[in-house]
Amino acid sequence: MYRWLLCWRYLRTRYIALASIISVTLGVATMIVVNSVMMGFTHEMENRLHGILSDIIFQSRSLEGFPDPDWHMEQIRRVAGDEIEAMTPTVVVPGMLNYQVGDTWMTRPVQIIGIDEKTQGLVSDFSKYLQHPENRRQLSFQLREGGYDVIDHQADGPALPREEMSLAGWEHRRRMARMKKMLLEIERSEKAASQQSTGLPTDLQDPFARAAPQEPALQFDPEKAQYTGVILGIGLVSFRRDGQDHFLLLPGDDVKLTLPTVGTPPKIVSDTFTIVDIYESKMSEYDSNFAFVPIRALQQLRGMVDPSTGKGYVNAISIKLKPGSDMNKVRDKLRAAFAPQYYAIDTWRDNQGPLLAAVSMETAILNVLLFLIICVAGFGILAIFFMIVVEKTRDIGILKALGASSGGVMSIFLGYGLLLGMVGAGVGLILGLIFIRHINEIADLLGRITGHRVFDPDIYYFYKIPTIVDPWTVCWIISGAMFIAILASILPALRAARLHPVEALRYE
Amino acid sequence: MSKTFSLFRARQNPTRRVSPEEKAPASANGHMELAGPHFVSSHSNSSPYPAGRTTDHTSTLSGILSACGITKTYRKAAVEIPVLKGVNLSVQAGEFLAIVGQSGSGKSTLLHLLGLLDRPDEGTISLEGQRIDNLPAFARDQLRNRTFGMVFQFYHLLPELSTLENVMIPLMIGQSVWQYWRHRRENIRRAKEILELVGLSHRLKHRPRELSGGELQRAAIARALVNQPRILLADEPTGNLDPATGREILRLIQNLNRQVGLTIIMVTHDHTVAEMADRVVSLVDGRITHQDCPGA
Repeated sequence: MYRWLLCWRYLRTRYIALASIISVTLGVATMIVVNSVMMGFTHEMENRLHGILSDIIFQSRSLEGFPDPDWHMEQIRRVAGDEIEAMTPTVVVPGMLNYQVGDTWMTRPVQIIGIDEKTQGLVSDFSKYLQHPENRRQLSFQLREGGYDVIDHQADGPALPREEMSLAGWEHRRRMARMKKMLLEIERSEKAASQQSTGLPTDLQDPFARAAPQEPALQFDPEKAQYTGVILGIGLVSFRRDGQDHFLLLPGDDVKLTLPTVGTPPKIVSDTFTIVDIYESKMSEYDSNFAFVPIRALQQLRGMVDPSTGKGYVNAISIKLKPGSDMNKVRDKLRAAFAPQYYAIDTWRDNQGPLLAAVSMETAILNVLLFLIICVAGFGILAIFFMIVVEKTRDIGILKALGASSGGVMSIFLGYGLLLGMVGAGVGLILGLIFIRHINEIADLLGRITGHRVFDPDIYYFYKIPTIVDPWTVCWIISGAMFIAILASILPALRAARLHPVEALRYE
Repeated sequence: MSKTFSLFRARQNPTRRVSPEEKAPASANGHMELAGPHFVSSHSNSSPYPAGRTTDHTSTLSGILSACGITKTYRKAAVEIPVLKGVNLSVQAGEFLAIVGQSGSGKSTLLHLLGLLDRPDEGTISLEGQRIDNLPAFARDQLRNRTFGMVFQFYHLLPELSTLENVMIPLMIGQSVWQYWRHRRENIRRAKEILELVGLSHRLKHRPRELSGGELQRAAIARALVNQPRILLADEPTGNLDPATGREILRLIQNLNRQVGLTIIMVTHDHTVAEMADRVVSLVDGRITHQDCPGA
């Protein structure tokens, strides 16, 4: 009992010891905040990656792909049918995106993905990331009349409205077509006027006019018709400045996609597509790269349709597993069943391995560094405890004279270390939790003070800093801090325990 | 006889001789009025030791505490300072013994050895005939806690604790947390009674820094008595007090011996202080002038 009484009294009267645990407090608070933010980011990122990618991706090692996806899906079902919920064939091919902004043609590298609009939504959260509510319900590559989201439906905070999106759809297309037609007419009338003024025939004014391709007899009317639909990543069609998205292209605009055909050597083919929706997964890597088109159109454009059977080639099958299935087990079964030289079969985690490993490595390094701060605090406790033991030498002698055992004296200082650790870790926990609760306000305040945005949604695509407080992680951090505090008090406690009572009583 | 020390009396050796002074009334000093309804019946058990450790009581005829051929040398590097050179001493139960000697004569060292705070280089220390100097640490700790009460020249109260808590420390040391909480009320009552006995019932909540020298020594005596020891060891108890307060403290110690029969061994360099004891032995150059060890 005397041990706890003395521990408590030392805690209340030795303020210098309390000062030594400030670093424990700060270390614990920082570790809790950093882990919560990192966990929030990781969770958000994994959710999105998993949402974008299906559980297992069955890929051909060649861009040529493999024939008869139905047969392949049948084989996959035969191997792991009980665990498969849905499958969809896809064609993935690198390509170029061209679009006109004013008079300038812009070119961007893209990953063109041919998807089956009926089954794509079954294997991933693809539809969730589209901007038209109807497309989110049932994906269609037909341009919608209007009704595209003006406010980001995924925003978890106050997002600035995307006013330009209110114009998107057929109305925008018709307006743009009329404007184009008007410009064309102005150009024509200007040409006619110049011809009249010179009196020369057109081919003499422009020697290449006769060589120019003649316009087809049946005119494509962009006011009434659309090209094959394409869904582009938001990073390809817009840029963000001061939290506001500025769109270069809107649903209803036409773009050109250029891609290699199958065969050796591949030829380059190009076609015009109409943007029917915008894809925003909040993962900039995907949002700035992906262009989704109907799989059939892509197969035809690339020459991936077998003329004898009419069946298309694909180069990937996305597989969604039933809840509770073991992804790795299914992957291994499939790997065993299909020739590895032709097929690459990976889970979404395997596919994103380097990214996930980098994030987890970053978290681990941060934890090690922050834990070192607590260790440094441990040395502070060690030094102050030694000082307290020296100061309390006579008291130790008295306690021993009154019958306290060496173990009892030792436990006073170990208990004191434990109490200090508890107080330091407890205050750190409270500080950390308060910080996490108000992390966005604190980030805003710091941004206002320093003039730089601490958490820029332009970069992260999140309006709020995502945080997750994992009770187990918190327990580990607190236990670690208390362990360090106890560890730091062992040496001084041993010294106290070994003090000879007579020498301690005579100490001055 | 006062009821106050009935508890102490019950724990003293029954063979103790009764001096005529014991029958005398308590001192006129208010603090020395050792009366009150204290410690009457709850501790009628005569032995403070656990069963099996009690020694042959016939040996008590040779003294409750005896030291035979004690030597002690302090060593610092290559320098050896012999302090005790074969001390033989026997203390009878209920005796008030004063050990006098000049500074550096080894009297405090002898007291520390008798109180098991240190181990002799040679010789033996026996309690009721049983050798105790070679006991394992836990048994020595227990004896220090329950059998010996120690009073120091500089009081040595713990500054973080109140007077009451300081007095309760030996009780806390001797009991587990569970035992302490089970007997908490009784422990507090006992500590308060002891403090009342030494005249400090009005200073229960005060910290040592708020007490005078005399009050500090009274509190230290209360702390030494709270576990009902069989032997009180006092190291220059008046050495740090003014003469009047010193006399007051000495009267308190004397009354503990005379009314309760508490065995007291007091170390002092002051012969006038030593005169209050039943017997005085002188320690000169590490040797006692009186050979009081029957076995020596």
